[in-house]
Amino acid sequence: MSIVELSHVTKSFGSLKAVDDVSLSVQPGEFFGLLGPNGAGKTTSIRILLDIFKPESGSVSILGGPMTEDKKNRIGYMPEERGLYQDIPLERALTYLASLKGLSSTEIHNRLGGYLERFDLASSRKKKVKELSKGMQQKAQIISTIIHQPKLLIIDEPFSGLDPVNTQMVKDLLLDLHRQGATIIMSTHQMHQVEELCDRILLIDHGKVMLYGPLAEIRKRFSGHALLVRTPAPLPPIPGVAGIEKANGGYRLTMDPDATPQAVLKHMVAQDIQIEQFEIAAPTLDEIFIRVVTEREQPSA
Amino acid sequence: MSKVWTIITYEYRRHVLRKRFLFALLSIPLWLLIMAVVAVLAVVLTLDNTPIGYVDHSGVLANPVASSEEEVPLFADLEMIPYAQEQDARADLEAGKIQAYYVLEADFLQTRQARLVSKEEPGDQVSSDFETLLSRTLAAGLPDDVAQRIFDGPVIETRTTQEDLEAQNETWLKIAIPFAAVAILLLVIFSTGGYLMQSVVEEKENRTMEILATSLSPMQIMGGKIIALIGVGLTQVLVWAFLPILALILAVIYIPTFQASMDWPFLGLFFLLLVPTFVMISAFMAAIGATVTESSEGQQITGLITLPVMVPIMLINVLMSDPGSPISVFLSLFPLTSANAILIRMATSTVPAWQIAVAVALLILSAIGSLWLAGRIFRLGMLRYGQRLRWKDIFASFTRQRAQ
Repeated sequence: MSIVELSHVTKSFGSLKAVDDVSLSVQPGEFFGLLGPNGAGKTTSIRILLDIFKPESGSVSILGGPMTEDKKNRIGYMPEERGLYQDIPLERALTYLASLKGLSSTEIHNRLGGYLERFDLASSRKKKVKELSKGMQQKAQIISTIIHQPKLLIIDEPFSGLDPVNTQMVKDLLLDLHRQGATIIMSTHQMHQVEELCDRILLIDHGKVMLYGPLAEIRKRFSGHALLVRTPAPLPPIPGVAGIEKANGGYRLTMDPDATPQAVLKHMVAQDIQIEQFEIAAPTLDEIFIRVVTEREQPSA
Repeated sequence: MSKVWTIITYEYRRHVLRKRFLFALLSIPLWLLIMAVVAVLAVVLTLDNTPIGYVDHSGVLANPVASSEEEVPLFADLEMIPYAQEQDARADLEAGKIQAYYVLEADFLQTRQARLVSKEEPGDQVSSDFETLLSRTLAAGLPDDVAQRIFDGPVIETRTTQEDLEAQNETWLKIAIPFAAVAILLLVIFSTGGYLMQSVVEEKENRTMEILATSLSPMQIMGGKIIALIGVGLTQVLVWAFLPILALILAVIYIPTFQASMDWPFLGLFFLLLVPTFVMISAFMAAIGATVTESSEGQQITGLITLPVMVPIMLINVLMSDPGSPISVFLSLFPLTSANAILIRMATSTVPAWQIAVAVALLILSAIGSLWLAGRIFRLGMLRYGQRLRWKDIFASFTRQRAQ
């Protein structure tokens, strides 16, 4: 049974169709990536599944049905634009938000200290939130998202504003939670983080689903047109290869649309070319992202 | 429920512990206190306790009757010294032992003319105390209640042909209390009514709203905030009314004639008018907060709500001189104006019971209706950043709901 399911959901603001017939399902324990350029409809989709916005059409199921007040205690949400009271001390802000997630004051007391220590915020607990650096506020926001140990975690750009050390710390924390069984939906622009963390992704652009499925499968789908080859000697022209360019001490071979890697390899072996490395150049998620988004913008190109 | 309670306590503390709020809260009683102290000082400084004398040739004051009332220290009656001869009185006046003396000639009861001799113009107390002594002594033979009636003067009750409209020339307190109530109502609405708008806009600006919206329902958020705000408003009323009420209680204890003036049902009616008015205006303010993106923008719209509240003050003449006119009745029933209109009318006349009942009922219904409306607008507008909620969207949401 899916933990989150959107089925043919549509939502407009005025004449703008922010979400256009989007369907997705996230399985329990999955680390799911929600990708898309700015203004693609990611945040609106998240708000629809959190029942902040009502969709005009389509259906939403979260934790096995429609949203209830009780389910809100089992969900942790970190919005892209951070939401913390600026004028009150950090500890009070976190205590308040945690109590709204149904935690008792003893539970909050027991957990908060540990998290503040872990995130190096213990010495700032009495400081007003606005006196904290952007990175510290970001860490505080993460604490408020996970302190009630949610079953479903929805995080929007969790790494923005963090230095490499803190990025690693947050990543470790997310992996910890994932290992403990939490389902995580992460929206981000940092493709290498998605490659590292996510099992499946959904790429949305202009409100429409562009890509959806397991990450490995998608990358495979977009590979096959380029090869990475390393040889001690310069490469002669090879049938089926449209272009050869130097890349990272080797060559990047762009194949004709009807050529296969097997045919190219077979030809190279037949030509007795000494091969140190032969690899199908699977595109990075960055490349796939750019290709999908730009192709949509220039459909004739 | 516990989450709503969390919101209530958090919001209450957040508003009440703000420096700005505490300053506003304490400055008004402080000003009242300073004004009271200045008034008392002014009286004390001009007070002259030097005795006064009288020379009675008429025999009216042969057996003077002293005041039977308990004496309040500052306002004790002046000592009266009888003189047989005017020369003795004049000598004591010259010596400064008395500040003035009265001479009642033998034919005083016929002429009703007394002569006052002093070196400089005496204070009001001299004549009032002497007159009191005279009237008390003259009324000595009469039954107490008849004497009291004479001292108090007439109470004129004006009645219209409609049985329930009446007016009395009552004590100043009867007029002052409703006006004080109007002042408190306006102060509370203008100083606190806007808090909810500010807090909603602030939460939109700092994006806390999204966290709240994924922890509670919009109605819970709205309900919690409004209940907290009612608490804040009542705190203000209690603190501001504390000194006047304290003064009234002391007056009731120490001045027996005050007893009749303390109007406990009026206090109850005041809260019946204040609370729903406050809830309704706060809910409107919160709804405005949800539709706008910056608090400065919201402040421009709040006039639409607060201006009608002021209308009874602007039309105070009509309300007081013609309390039964259609305008007065309309203002007394229309929810945004009813509280002030009824209070103003109560200062000079009696408002018919049915009008009060209808006004309170309409107010409570409007308060509930505005809460519901605010909840809906809040849900639509709470996450609109940089884009104002338009009336069209609000109406569209209603028609959509009906269609479902």
